[in-house]
Amino acid sequence: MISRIAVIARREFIAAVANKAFIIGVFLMPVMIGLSVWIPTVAERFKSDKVRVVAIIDRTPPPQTGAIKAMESLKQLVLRENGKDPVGKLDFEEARAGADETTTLELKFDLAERVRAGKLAAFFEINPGRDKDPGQLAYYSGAAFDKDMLTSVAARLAAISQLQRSAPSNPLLWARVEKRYKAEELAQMLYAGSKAQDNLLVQRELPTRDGSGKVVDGKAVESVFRALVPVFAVILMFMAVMVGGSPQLNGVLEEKMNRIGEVLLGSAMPMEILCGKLIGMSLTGLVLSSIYLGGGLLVGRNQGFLPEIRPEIPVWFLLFQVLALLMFGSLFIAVGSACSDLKQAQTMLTPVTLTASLPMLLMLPVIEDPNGNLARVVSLFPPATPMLMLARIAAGAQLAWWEPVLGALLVLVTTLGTLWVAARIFQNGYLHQGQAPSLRLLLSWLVRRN
Amino acid sequence: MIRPRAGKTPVTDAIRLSGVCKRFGDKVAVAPLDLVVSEGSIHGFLGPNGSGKTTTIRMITGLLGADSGSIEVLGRAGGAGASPEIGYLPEERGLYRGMTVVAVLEFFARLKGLRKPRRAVLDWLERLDLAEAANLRVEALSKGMAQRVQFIASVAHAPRLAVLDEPFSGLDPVHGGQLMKAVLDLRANGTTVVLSTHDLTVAQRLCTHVFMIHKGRKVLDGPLDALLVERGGTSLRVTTREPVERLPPIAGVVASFRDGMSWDLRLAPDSDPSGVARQLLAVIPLTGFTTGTASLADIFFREVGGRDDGTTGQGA
Repeated sequence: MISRIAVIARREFIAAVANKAFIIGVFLMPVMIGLSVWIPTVAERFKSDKVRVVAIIDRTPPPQTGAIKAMESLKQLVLRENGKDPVGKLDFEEARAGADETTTLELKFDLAERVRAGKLAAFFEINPGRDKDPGQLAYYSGAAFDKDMLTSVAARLAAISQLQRSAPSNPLLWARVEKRYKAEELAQMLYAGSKAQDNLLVQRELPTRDGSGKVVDGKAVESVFRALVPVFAVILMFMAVMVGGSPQLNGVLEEKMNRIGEVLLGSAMPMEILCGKLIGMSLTGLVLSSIYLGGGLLVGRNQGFLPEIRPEIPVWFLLFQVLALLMFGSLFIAVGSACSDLKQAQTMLTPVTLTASLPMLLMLPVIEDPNGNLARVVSLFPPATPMLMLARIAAGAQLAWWEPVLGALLVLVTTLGTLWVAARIFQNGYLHQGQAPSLRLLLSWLVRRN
Repeated sequence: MIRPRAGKTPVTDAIRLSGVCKRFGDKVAVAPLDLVVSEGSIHGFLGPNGSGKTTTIRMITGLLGADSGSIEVLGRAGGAGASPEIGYLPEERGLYRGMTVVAVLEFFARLKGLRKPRRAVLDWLERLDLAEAANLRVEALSKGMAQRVQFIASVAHAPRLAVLDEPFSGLDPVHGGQLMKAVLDLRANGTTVVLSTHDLTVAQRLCTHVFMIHKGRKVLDGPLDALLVERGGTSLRVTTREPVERLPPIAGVVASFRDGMSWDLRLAPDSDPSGVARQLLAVIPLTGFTTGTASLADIFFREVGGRDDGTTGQGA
């Protein structure tokens, strides 16, 4: 009995190891790990060289005012220590609060308009009040999760604000701590300390005008949840692509193995078959993601998070989801058509899976800096566009109108191109049996019929 | 009686191949080939395995492109494509195993342009003794039943041209007979039928024209009756006194087949049956022999060569 088990085990082992899918997998794993390490580094390098302007409305009464000067000092301190500010090039602009609340609101609306136009990165408001009043520091931004702004700029400003309040009459304190701590450490330490005691920092939406033209201050947002929205959206889209794509591949493969393809090809043109399959299976994927999206929105409503999801996000999600399903679906179908069995398909699926996974690796850098160069470039790379353009939109990027439009057009063109390629492979691959087609054969199918 | 089909453009030739050639790598699958299939005929495609029948059919249906030459099907250049005027039964069958018989037949009929295919599908199921299987899943069908369902899928939309690749393989004589009647009915209703088969008896009973291909080259083409007269000659059946395992080589015999105590001998066109019988009598005791007109099988063996190994049964 043991020897029979050994014989079977040997065959299984050799069949698995001497498989192209296994060999490619062995090489692919370190590539994926390498990419996941390399991409954030590249993202850092791609950070915009553009000077980001941050406006500060300092409403603390004299002599505490001077936050901008302190921020400049801190920036210089960081530059002296590191040679480079991790936050990037920052410029601070003082915005003077008006004499009354209405004038200040108008000022905030003007600043918000500049943020929306991409001329201002964000603005902060340091409110008067006692030391530990909640909402002492308000952060206004269109972005869902601007890591640098939240973790560094806001932290520094909060630290400075706290320092000023705790020792308004002791100008030597700043000099003392400056000697003792490194700039970033100082900011983080003070911020963390103050954060632990109260909700010092409040992130707010950008102010808007209501129907009567009155400026309404932006409501406080749950920054963590808002930051998670693009992450969930991208993961959901990726899941729908993979879940919707596998049946497409299996369906084509099964048809090929059961010889239904030849009957189909005698009844409809390859492009018609392909489009029908693609639309049918994409609808399946769309139903799946709509169920999860609807469920997510329902949970969000029950938990009070719904206001954090801007209404345009589900609309963009559905649009880009359709594009993603069509684009990747056509690739899955092409792979299924070119193969005769599941093992061959696994091997040939690797590049498709890698391409579909690329946005997952790029997602975090893009969400953290949705207006950066990296985000702009990768979101216009068609295989990544549906997921990353959505990530940018959900992360509150200030997109020019043409960016999502161009992205959608590029995806459509790519989809049509992929469909054409898939149709050629589909037509020729259906009649191809036995060994997996070589790359040369696949290419020859593109230029001529069997 | 062949009825003209209403609303269709009259085309004298359903299929016209001219100098069609197809290679797969270094192998010539079909050498330059000319063929005309007249509308309203039942054209039998005959040839041994690997002779190029299926490749030719796939070029006619547009699944394969020709390397050179021209193909015209129902007046349309470049092969049939997915025209609803064509019905195609491929050699290798395939149906959606999880669907019911009715659903799968309606699916294919709709692909061929029938808007309400239910009536036509049910009629066909009735005709081919499959009415009770209408709501069975395809995976529950026997091979013969699936074969007939596949046939219906290719003709339920009443095509102008039906291309049937081995429609009778795997069928028992009863259902084979039903299918033969169905093919004759198709023709009676104006459908041109191209039929590839290995069953030469069936071909002889059904076909009005025969096209024979061997190693990619046409060896025979024309109306069956004329071919039988021109190329047929005589066949010889001898009965031995004792069982004979193997016949000795006899001049003028192209192929021989054992059938119990009898042997069917395919004769060369110029050979004399009584001379052959005499030669045999000299070496084997015979109890009798009969001569007859050569069948399509005789012609087939003469043209493409048969086995002479004493195997019982049809050797095509």
